[in-house]
Amino acid sequence: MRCRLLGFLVLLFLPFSGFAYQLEVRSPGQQAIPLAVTQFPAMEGNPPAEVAREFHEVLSNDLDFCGLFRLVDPGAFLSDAGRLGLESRRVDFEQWRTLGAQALIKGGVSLQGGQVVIEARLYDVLRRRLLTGQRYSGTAKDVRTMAHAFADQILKSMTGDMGPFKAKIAFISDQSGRKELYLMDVDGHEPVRLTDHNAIVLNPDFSPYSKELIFTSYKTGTPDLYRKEIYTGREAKISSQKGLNIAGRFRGDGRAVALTLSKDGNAEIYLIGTSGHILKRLTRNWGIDVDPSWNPDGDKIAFVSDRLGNPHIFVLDVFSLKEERISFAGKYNATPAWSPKGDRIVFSRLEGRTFDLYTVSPDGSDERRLTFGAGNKEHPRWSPDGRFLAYSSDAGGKKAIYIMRADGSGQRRISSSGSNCLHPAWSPRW
Amino acid sequence: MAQKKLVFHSASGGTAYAGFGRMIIASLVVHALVVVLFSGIFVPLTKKKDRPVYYVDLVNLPVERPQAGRPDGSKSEPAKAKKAAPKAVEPPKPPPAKAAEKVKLAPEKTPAVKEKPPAVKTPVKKEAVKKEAVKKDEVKKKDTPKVKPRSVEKDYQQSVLGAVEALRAKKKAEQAEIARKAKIEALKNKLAAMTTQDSRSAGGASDAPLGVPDGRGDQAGVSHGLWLQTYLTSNWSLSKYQLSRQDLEAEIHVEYDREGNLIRKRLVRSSGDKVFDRSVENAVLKSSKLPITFPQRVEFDIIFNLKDLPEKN
Repeated sequence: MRCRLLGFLVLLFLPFSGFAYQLEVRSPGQQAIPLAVTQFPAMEGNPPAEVAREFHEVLSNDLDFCGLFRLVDPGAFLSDAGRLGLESRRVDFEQWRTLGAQALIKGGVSLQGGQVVIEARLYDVLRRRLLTGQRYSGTAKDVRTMAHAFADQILKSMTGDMGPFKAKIAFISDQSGRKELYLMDVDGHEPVRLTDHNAIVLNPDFSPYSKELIFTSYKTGTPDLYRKEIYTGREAKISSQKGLNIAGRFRGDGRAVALTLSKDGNAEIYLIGTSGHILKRLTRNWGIDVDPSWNPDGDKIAFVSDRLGNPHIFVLDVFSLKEERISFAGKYNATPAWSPKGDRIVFSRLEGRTFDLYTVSPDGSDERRLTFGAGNKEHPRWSPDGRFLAYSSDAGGKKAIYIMRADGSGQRRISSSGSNCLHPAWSPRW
Repeated sequence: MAQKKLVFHSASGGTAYAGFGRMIIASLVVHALVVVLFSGIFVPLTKKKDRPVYYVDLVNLPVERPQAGRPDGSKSEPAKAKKAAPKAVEPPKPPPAKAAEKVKLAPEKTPAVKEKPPAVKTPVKKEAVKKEAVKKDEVKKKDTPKVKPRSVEKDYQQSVLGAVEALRAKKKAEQAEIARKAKIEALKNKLAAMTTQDSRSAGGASDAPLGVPDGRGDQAGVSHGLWLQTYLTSNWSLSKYQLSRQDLEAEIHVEYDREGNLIRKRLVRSSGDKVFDRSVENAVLKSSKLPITFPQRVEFDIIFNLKDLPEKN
């Protein structure tokens, strides 16, 4: 009986125990993570101060561009900023918490047998623990690459996805007087010329796995498709059909290329093998079909066609050859690029007198304009993680390569002035 | 000793013991109790409706008995003090100090002066009513000790009594008017608080006093819950570039002691996204020592979501 009474009382008072008020927080008050990036002190071997300074500059630049962080003013740093702090127990997190920092980058530089060694750490200030730590070694020339690599690592730690800063951007420049193929870092540093065709070179695209490029060149007088291994410099012509062999794009598995051929008179899109043999004709229409771009699954391509009058973007199922129009406005829609995540297609559109960049869902819905203002923005290409876009713009007079976030913010010019730069292509992770 | 057992014969030929029947009855009673307990009679049901969001000025510390108003409203005195305010502002003419004094005194005198004529008028108009009035006045004398009937002239007496009556009526009307105005004012405040769901869309400060929409107290300020909501919002750092989706939601249970120290936190419901969950827990960690105190140990179930985050491209 007592047990029953006890049970009844428990039941009676159950709802009153642990009563909690309900609250709802509907958006973060701070939409950037406060991050403190310290300058790395010397550990051993008396490394040149330039190394730490360059590493800090490149890393800060990458982290600032990605839009994820709000960098804490170094002028406010306290005594812990000058300490090494390679282990969490040696970091005075309270100091950083006082400054409002939520993430902290510390590390040290040393010179060991002529090799620069950089130890870098990312800490969670609130939890007082290490999020990621890396050790890089190389020559003094590799410091920029080390900084880009650590920026990628930080993005992985904070978002789950690796960053694209250690990748490269290929582009076409007329610096030599002719349009040739170049390669540079994502921040525009260290541009290297890859071709010496003394002719027009256009439209590069990276192989998804090996470090090689395909591009169109008029080296022999006609627009043929070439492939080039970046490190060995070996080059070969892979498609020299009669007429156009332009705008080649590797499929996601790297085993096939979609491109425009005009061997039968009209410009149509074909699927060819990496050795150049034709696998399949993908379009059959009186209009001009150009600029194919693969979806990540490799079963669809977006392309441009003027079959309905003005050039518009279409999506084609490679197996069923079913086509669907996805752009409906503007006088001229061109150069679509399918995002690596598969959810958006970016393209340029002529509105009035200037080209601007837009994105649209692959089904043609939810179109958004990304760029505004003066200058033609053309040839957009995604970064391998889909966070950023590279494109060319003549806003400053001559055409130059710009990068920006996928929402159109953070636009910055990365190619040097003095020559026309166009047709950027962001490499896979290097 | 043979035990007596009540045995029920069921239609299907089977048997059931009396204990089983009792068990069913007990079960029914317990179920009925549970239904009654959770029906909201004893414990208010938790409604997870889409609540409006208010942005609290964190400089204003929370109060125990917040008045009706808006959390971003103008700082005002409690309701009682506010009632007196209109009278103080009333003086219509700025002129000399003496005149002002006269104006201040006037309200006491004027009714008597003004009411005299109607009081005099009534006896003139209806003679028959006078007698009845006199009878009634005799009864009312007890209620009005100040007015002592003089045995001079009946008419004069009646006129005085009439004037007093009129005065009383006017005072009552005045009081009713004041009460009515106060009620309207309170309703206005409530309406101002309720109509604008989001202070950002309201476009600036409102005329509503500082308080909470469902406030029933008499203190200018916000509730502890609303204050904590804003404090957590300001401590929550999450970039849209960290997000894979925008339909994320996590729930966290927190407990604070009276001094505002976090004594327990528990992720009740994960969003399924590690980055999001970590940011939510960080927001709570950053709020582990509050600059306010509570009347007692308190518990909160806090839902974090991205309903108000602008969509990313």
